[in-house]
Amino acid sequence: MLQQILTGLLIGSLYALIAQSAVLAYMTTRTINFAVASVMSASAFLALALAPFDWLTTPGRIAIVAILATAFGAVLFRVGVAPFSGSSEHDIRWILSLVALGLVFDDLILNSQGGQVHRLGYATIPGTLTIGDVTLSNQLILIGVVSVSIIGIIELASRYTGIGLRMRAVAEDRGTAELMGIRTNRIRIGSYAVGMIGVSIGAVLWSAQVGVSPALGSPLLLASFGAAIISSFTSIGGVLVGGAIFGVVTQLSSYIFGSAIGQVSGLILVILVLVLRPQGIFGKRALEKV
Amino acid sequence: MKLHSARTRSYIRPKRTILLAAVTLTAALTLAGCSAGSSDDSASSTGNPGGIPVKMGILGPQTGAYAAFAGVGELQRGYELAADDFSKKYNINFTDEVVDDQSDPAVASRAVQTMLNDDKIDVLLGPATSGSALQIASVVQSTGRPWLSPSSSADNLVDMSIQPNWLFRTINSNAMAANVVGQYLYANNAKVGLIYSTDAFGQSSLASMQAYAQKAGKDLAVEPLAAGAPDVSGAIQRLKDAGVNSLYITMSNGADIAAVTKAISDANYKPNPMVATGQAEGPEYSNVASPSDWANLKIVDSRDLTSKPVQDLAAEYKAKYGSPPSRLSTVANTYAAVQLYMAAVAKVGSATNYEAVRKAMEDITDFSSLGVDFGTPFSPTDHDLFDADPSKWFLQALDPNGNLISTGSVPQG
Repeated sequence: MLQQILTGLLIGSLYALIAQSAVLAYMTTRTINFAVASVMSASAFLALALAPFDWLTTPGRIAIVAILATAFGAVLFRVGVAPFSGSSEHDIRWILSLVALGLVFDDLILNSQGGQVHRLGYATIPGTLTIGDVTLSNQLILIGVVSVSIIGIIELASRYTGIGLRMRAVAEDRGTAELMGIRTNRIRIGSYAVGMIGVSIGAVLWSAQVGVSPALGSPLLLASFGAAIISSFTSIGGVLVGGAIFGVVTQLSSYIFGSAIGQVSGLILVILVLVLRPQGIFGKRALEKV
Repeated sequence: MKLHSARTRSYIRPKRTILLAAVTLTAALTLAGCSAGSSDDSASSTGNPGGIPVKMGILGPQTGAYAAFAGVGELQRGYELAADDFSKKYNINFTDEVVDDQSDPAVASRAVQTMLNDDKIDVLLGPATSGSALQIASVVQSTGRPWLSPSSSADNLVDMSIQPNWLFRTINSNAMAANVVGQYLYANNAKVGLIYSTDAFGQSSLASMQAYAQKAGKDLAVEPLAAGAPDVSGAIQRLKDAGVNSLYITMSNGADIAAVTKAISDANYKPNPMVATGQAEGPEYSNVASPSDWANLKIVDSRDLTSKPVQDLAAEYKAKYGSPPSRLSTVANTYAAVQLYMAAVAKVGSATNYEAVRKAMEDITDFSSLGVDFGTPFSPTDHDLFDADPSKWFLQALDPNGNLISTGSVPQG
């Protein structure tokens, strides 16, 4: 049982690392990046393309991938969201736009790179760590440490830096923030871009474990959105809790009731949260003046 | 004036951004659409100019969930290699049409009707997956067109109660595999487990193994896994705790088999024997797994993929396409299917006399392909090229470099 709980916590941290991008985007733009799975696949293939450059260290390669993914995130916002957001709360063209862009990039990756799964060959710590009866994959432990670190840094930056203050101001009330002289569009585009740092690093570390393929991101997308729904779309650090709950519930359910139940248990939990506490664990209930 | 200028800018800029978005989207869609997504993607010709004209329709995923690991590419390439090698011998001139079923049986169903009725194909090759093949079966059988299936192993696909039967299958069925593997796995009263994918192939494998176990009066522990499941350690732990010491892995995707064997390795779990289906034979498995993961893994196949003729075909494939096959067994089975069809067309002298071609395929004798002597491959009551005789099946393994090596025929308990 302890084995499943610890594995669930580690896999949940990966969900959280992807979920933080959704939270950052939602807080400042009230949109969700539905193309994030494509960013993951693109990041993994980019990391694969850098594999032959032996003079680059592993952190150097990952940094290049993260920088380019950041630019990709900014472009996604500029092309897929900015033209359609802001005119009205009810304008949902950005959803279609992001989904379409995601499909286009998936197709581009598939047709340019082929469907085969490739070995990344770096950014991996082989082997396992055994403590008593519990055996954990070293790579999952690495992913857990990196996820907590990145999410922690973003959370601290949002609380204690000037940019973080401006971001929270935009999240609170974009109109007022604009009147205060904050360049809200820069904050919004920055949120999309910064979110991609964690997504791309998560993609590289995960692809080192499961291989680089066009289908890399899709299986993680629902779980990461689930983690954000459980914790709240307004709490950056909270996604670690949301991811942990999602990961542990699916792991334990798989072990106790079998994989068929385990694979849907996380989604059932998400539905329960949506029904019973739609704002999530860390979200505030929105009060409306009548 | 300043206010007017600001208003003008704020009016123009969103329009320019929308224009930029539209241009980018259009360009990307155009690029992406170059080779995928439509139902009449490409048409080309190959073979012996002036020979008997044959219009070959090839159906399989170029997009969607299965495109990445069970795409139409291996069918197309197996066909092209057979056409290269035999079109002069049989005097055949192929034109072909490759159609994307988008990994969706409903799309496959619509696409095949267009191929049969509008495009007037003479023979259908594919679909690549069991789900799509089962979906289109009744349409093809009722239309009456020779149909070659080299990669769909679902048991109920070949239903010989339908006569005349147009489907000729050159891959083993899941029931055959269950019969062969079952005898091997249950030897020495082992506790047997099955990990299967939750798609049509996996469900069919499950049904076959359950039927075998029930007939043999044995227990079978089963664990379903969705394709691409992020973590499979829960399922592995359940099998380990249940005392399963003999394991069969039937997943549609080599990468998923890699996830399973990695989790087995991480859990320090050592089922022996541990047998996987042919999806583990190539780079889609070995590119992801590590040598320690496959040290104990055996791969079961109705072909000896390490034989010289099959390895020569793999070399021919690599020389022609620049990379080794991702699924050598699919290429070899497609090669055999097209070779059989060409022999039948040559005998009839026409590809459009469908009934005569169908009958000719049933009547072929002394057939050999890739070093295997099949004798009489089909008959009016048998449209499966392979059978469940364990002595004709092979166990293979991967060496530390990921190359396939033979470990002989399947031993029986």
